Amino acid sequence: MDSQLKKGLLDGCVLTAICEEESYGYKIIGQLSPYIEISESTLYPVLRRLEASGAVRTHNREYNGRLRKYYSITEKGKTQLREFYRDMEEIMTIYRYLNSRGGKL
Amino acid sequence: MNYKMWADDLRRALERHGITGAEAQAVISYYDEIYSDKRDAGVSEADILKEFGFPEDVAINVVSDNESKSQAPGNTASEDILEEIPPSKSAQDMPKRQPSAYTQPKRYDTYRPERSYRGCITLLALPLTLLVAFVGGIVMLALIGIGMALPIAGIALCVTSFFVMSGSFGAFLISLGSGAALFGAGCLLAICIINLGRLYLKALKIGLGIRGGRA
Repeated sequence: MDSQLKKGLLDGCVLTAICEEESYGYKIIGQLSPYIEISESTLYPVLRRLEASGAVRTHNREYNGRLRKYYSITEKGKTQLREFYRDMEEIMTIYRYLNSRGGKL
Repeated sequence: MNYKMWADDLRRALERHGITGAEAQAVISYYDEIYSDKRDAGVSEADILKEFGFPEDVAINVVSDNESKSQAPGNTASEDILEEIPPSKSAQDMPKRQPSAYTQPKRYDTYRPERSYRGCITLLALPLTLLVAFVGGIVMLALIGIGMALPIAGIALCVTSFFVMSGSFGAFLISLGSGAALFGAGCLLAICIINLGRLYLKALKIGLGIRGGRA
């Protein structure tokens, strides 16, 4: 898959993973890995990008005698997620068009 | 190779790519947390390091994301196409997962032998390490004995030389000279043994350390 397309998809996937409740890195990977290929090294830039853009906020909480970073979605993130779903619908329209014209060759 | 060594490698790799201070610490902390979570979930250290990939690749990934962020986003041809096509209300036939270079970091232990051979190597390494340690230990003990005997003999010879001084001055000089030479040789040997002992202990530590890391 094209890396730029993958980046966009990952942003949406990560926001989806934390849209209902806050989550942490390892859990996010566990939630998404059945659906999209994601590793620690790919998740880190996504989380950092989302945090820098204000789509995600973080806080540390103690767990098992150590600090764990939790990520939660912001209002800006929710707006971004709604836009992502709209984009996905457009992409699916394109996909269906391409599939009907030549995708079965 | 253990996680601490991996994290140190990552820190150095990040530094090579110009990522230092708080930014580097944020990356390390992220991997610390994932590592702890995976360990809590029962994943072995070796498997975690495999999944993490090469520290150099992780650093490159971080750097490449920085670089792509710094580039100003412009309208692309695909964005123009999206504007032309009306939105759809339903979605189906999601494409299946395909592996890609972006999400497939190189495995950190690709240079290592296959898992099936690793057990044999570990089994061979244990007796070999013990044998080398045993033989090395005997050699070291022998050298320490010689190293202690030589200066003592040298001192004894020097002391004896004073007793023969009354008989012959020549014998006194030879005895004193030999005693001093033995003492000097013993001191030099002691210095060599100390350094050799350090190397021996270091080698032993590394040998046992490698086995522990692979276990």
